[in-house]
Amino acid sequence: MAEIRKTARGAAMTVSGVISLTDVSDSRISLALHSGRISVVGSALLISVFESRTVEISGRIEGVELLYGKA
Amino acid sequence: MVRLSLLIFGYRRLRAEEGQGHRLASVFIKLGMPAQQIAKDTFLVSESDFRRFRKYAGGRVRYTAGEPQGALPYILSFRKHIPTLVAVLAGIIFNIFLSGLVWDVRISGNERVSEGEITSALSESGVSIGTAWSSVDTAEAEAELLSRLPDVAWIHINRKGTVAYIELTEKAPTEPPDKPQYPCSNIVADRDCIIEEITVESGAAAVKAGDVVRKGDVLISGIVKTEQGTLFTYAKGTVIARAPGSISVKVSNEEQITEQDSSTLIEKSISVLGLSVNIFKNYRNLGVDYDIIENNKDIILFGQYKLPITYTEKYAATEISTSIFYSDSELPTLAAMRFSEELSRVLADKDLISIRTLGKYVESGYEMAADYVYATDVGDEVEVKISKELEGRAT
Repeated sequence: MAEIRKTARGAAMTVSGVISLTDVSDSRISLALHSGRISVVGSALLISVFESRTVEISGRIEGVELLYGKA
Repeated sequence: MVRLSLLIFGYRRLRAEEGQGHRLASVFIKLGMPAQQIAKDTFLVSESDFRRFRKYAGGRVRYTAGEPQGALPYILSFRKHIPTLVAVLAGIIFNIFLSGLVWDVRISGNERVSEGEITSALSESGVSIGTAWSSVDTAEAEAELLSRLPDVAWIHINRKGTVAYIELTEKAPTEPPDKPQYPCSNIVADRDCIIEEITVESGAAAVKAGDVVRKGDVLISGIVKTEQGTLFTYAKGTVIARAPGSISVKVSNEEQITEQDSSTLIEKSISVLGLSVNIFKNYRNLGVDYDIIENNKDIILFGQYKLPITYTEKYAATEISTSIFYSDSELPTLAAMRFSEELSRVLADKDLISIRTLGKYVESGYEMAADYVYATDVGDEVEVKISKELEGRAT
C-alpha cells in the first residue's frame, strides 16, 4: 500500500510491505515489494524506515515508476 | 531533524560504504528497526536498536558507527564518576544543612558577668552550639536571658551565618552595703619593745619615745579626732624601738661531721628548646644514700649568642661520717669562732645598741651565749574595721 501527501520539502510517500531497498540515492529510491518494485525519482530524496516494513520517502518527488512482477 | 525520542534516549549515526546505503536500509527493514536517513548512505538509529543491529549485521553489511549521542548516553558516560558526583551532592546537601546550625557564640560587652554564666544562660534559653537557627526565636531568647542574668540591663542576639553574636550592657554596679566607706589602717608593734623614736607621716602617734609596748599595741593610729569630727586615714610612719635578743653557740668535745666521699658521673643529657635527650645514664652500684649534684652548661655561640641548648651532667655524691675530738683548750677558741659567725649573721640587718657575752664550760663541751639589745623598725600596718558609730561621725 502506498500513500502520498504534500510536505514543506515537497512530498512524502509512505509505502508498506517493503521487502528490501535496491537503490538509495538522493535522486532515486527503489523499493522491492512482494508484488513488484516501486521506484521514486526526484531530488533531495531521503528515506525513513519504520517498523512493520514501512518506508517513507520524502523530498521533491517528481515521479513514481511501478514495475510488476516479483522483486 | 533528529527525532525527539532519539535525542532523549540516545542514538547512533551509521554510515554505509559508498553506494551501499540500500543494503543498510534493507537490514533495517528486515529487523523492523526504525531508522532515519539524514544524508547519503547515513542513517540514525536508536541506541537500543543499534545493539540489536550490531548482533545481526555482523559481516552482512559494511558500515561505520559513530559514538552514542543524546542525553541518556551523555549522562551515562559519567557512570564512573557517579560516586564522586554522589559525594559532591551529599557534601552540598550536608553543607546546606550545617549552615543552618549555630556553630560559634561570641559575646561582647560583659565586664563583671562571666562568659561562663552567659553561655550557661544561653544554653538554658535554647541557644547553644549545634542548635538549629530555625528553632531559635531571638526575641524570646533575649527576654529569657534578661530574666536569667540579673546584672544585665540589655541583651541582643544577632545572627551572622553560623555565628551568634551576643551583645549586652551590664547594669551599673552598686556598692556592697558592708564595705567600709572610709579606708583606714593603724601601725602596730610587731614585738615587745621600748620605743626609741617615732616619726608620723599620716595619722596620730599613739606612743612616745621611752614607752614600753607589747606586740600588737597601736603605735600610729589611722583614726584622728579633730575639732570637725573623726578623720579616717592610712597610718604612715616609722617607729624605731629597742628590742632584746639572744644567741648561744655550743661546741662539744666530740662532733660528727660528714664529708663528701666521692662523686660518680651518673647522667649526661642535652636539652634543646626544653626537650631533653639523654646521652648517658648509669645508676648502678650507687647504694641507697647519695645526693645528686647537677651541673648545667648553656651553649653560647661566638661568646655572645645564647642558644636554646643546655648540656647537663649529674653526679651522685656519697658522704661519709667521721668523729672529731676537741680538747678542753681548743673548745673556747672554736666556740668563739662559731659564735662570731652566728652573731654576724643575726645582727647583719640590725643596729646593735648593747651586748653582753658569756662563755662557760658545760657538760661535754663549751657554750658561748649573748644577750643584746638592738634598734629596729617595729611597725606593722593593719587595716581597721570601722564601726557604724564611727562612720556616722566621719568627716
